[in-house]
Amino acid sequence: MTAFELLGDHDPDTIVAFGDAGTKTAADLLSDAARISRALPPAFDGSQVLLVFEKDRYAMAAAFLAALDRGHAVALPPNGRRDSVLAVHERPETAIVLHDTEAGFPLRVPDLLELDGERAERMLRSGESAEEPSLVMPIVPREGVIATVYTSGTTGPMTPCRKTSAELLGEAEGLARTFDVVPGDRIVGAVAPGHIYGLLFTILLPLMRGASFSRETPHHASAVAHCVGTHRASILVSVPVQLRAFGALAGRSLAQLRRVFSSTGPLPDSVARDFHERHGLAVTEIFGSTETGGIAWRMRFAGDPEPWQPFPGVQVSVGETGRLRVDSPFLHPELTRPFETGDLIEPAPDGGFIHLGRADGIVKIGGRRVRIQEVEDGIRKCSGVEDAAVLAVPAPAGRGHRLLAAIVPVPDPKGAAEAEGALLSDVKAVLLEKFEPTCLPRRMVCVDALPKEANGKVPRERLLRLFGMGADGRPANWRLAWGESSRPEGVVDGLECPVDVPPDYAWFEGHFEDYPVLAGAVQLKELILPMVARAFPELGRIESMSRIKFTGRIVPGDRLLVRVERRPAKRTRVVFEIRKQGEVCSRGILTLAAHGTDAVGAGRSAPGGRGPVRTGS
Amino acid sequence: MAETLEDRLKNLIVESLALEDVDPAEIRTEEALFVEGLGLDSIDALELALAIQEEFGVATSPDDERNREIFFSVKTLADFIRAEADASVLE
Repeated sequence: MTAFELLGDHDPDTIVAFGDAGTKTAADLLSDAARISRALPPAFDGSQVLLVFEKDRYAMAAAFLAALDRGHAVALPPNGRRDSVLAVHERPETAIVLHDTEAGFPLRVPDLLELDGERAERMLRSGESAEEPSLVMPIVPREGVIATVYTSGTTGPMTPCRKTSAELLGEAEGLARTFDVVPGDRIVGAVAPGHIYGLLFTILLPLMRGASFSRETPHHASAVAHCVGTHRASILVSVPVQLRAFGALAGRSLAQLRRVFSSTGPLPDSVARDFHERHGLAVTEIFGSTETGGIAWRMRFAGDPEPWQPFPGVQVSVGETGRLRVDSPFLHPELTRPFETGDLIEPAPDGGFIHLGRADGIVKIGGRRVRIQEVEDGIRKCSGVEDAAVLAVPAPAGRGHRLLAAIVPVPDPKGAAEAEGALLSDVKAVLLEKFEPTCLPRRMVCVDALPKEANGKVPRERLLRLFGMGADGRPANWRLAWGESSRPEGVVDGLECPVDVPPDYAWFEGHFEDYPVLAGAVQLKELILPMVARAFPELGRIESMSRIKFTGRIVPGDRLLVRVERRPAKRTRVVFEIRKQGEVCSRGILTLAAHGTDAVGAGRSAPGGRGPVRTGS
Repeated sequence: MAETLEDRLKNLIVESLALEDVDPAEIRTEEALFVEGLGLDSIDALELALAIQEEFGVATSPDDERNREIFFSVKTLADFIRAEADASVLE
């Protein structure tokens, strides 16, 4: 095939867009695209039309087709912020901007198309749109750049990422095949169409396959459910934070959906599980990047996540430094192949892989790529700031990460605490000029000096301590330091694990002021049950205890060895023992339920954070 | 003195969004919560909606324009909850 035929599966009266703003057919789209096309300046070598659409996905689709019809590529800014849009607008290759915003640029598509009443009337009075334009045929050759996607997680130089039609439309075609999108499918886009994920899944995919898309982009859970229900949608394109918010919806309120896509960041296990239970649907999770296009996917049922499976035609391998290498038809011809990404992976059986994290100081916050260094540089440039360090810690829910910033103010002879407060709000205001609100540090503290080592580096652990956190980003004094567990010699069915008790461990509080002691109940909940959960995950809640003795005293700074074991004959009966310097200080027998999720703390080590680690694989 | 709905909302905002540096009493009832004022973002909006649903049993509006008005400040949120929630959860 030498060309792609957009709308090839649509009849003129097939619906392409639906929504509270009204229904539009393929014929509407073609004639609207033709009308926009006539308003565009002629193309020149490498010219592009900047698309900025906040409200109407249909207007964006018409603008996209119009730009292609006129021989331009389209340009997508990294975000909707005014300075980002202006930066792309000012580039010499940008011929014009097509938009549906109130920003005052000349070619506002709803005006061109008379999509909203008041403005349309004004247009008609001025007699600009009297002539009925002819249809365009959106047949797009495979070669040639049709889109430039500007990436910039935060700020700094924007990087253009060019996409040929073979990459973009080829990927849309591949997605339609992999996920069996058919004519008549109705897709609700709950992600902005100006993002590459939104463009592919909510405009190009439906246009390639005779399907239709929502004109609006609902954000809140109820708004999404309303859109799905009112317009009988079959597919939802969403992101992790939003899927978590669907926990507030009544069960089955998304029952008409047959598929839900999630991308832009990892979907937390709990969100995938809750969504599956509440709405009876496994989420389809997509892994990809702007540079590489789609790489892999997997279904998220209630259990642990499966490894990622590459899309058909995509080859993945592991580079020397453990990074993901991708070769695929969706890679730009000018990129070196295989293309190495900043993701650390581990190969899995059947050609899949497990994603271990990012290697390059980039974190994802709410689906947005943030280069920590850029935020740090942004703070350093503020007046009144002498030095700064920023770090990312994991955040709950779908946020992914949050940033923390330690700031050294320029010494102030007056040295008032008031000045620090003013400095922090100045820093915030300066950052907000350049960064999305999501990318701002959630906590900022002023310090006299950064905890630097002789080589000038600031170790992460010492920075975390400035925020009262341990190495895992939790409060340090709520966390036991577990070592690696192993099977003790001579024990058939059991594990043991060394544990360090921090000197300021929170559980020492509240007993005797001058006589710190780790209460028996705390030992059971924080030391024994997490160990039981690790060694015998099939066991549930405690049913009974016997012969429990706390003979020794556990004090701040102790190193303990915790052991659990059981005999083949009684698989629900667990013998535990805590030793300190070879001496037994606690022991006893627990009988636990054979299958249970309603455990008294089993399987959780809260508030202790990380539990014992198993060695090997 | 009984805790007002506005105070409950301020506590809920600080707790559900883990705003460790913010004292609930510092949040001004009529101040913008998002971007300018307290500096919350679109992710916080979804989180806060979830927390309000759990606490007061009221769901967000099916209209996102309306949600923008509802989530503007503590005051607009409180007005919305008073109008929507069962009397029992407001006591």
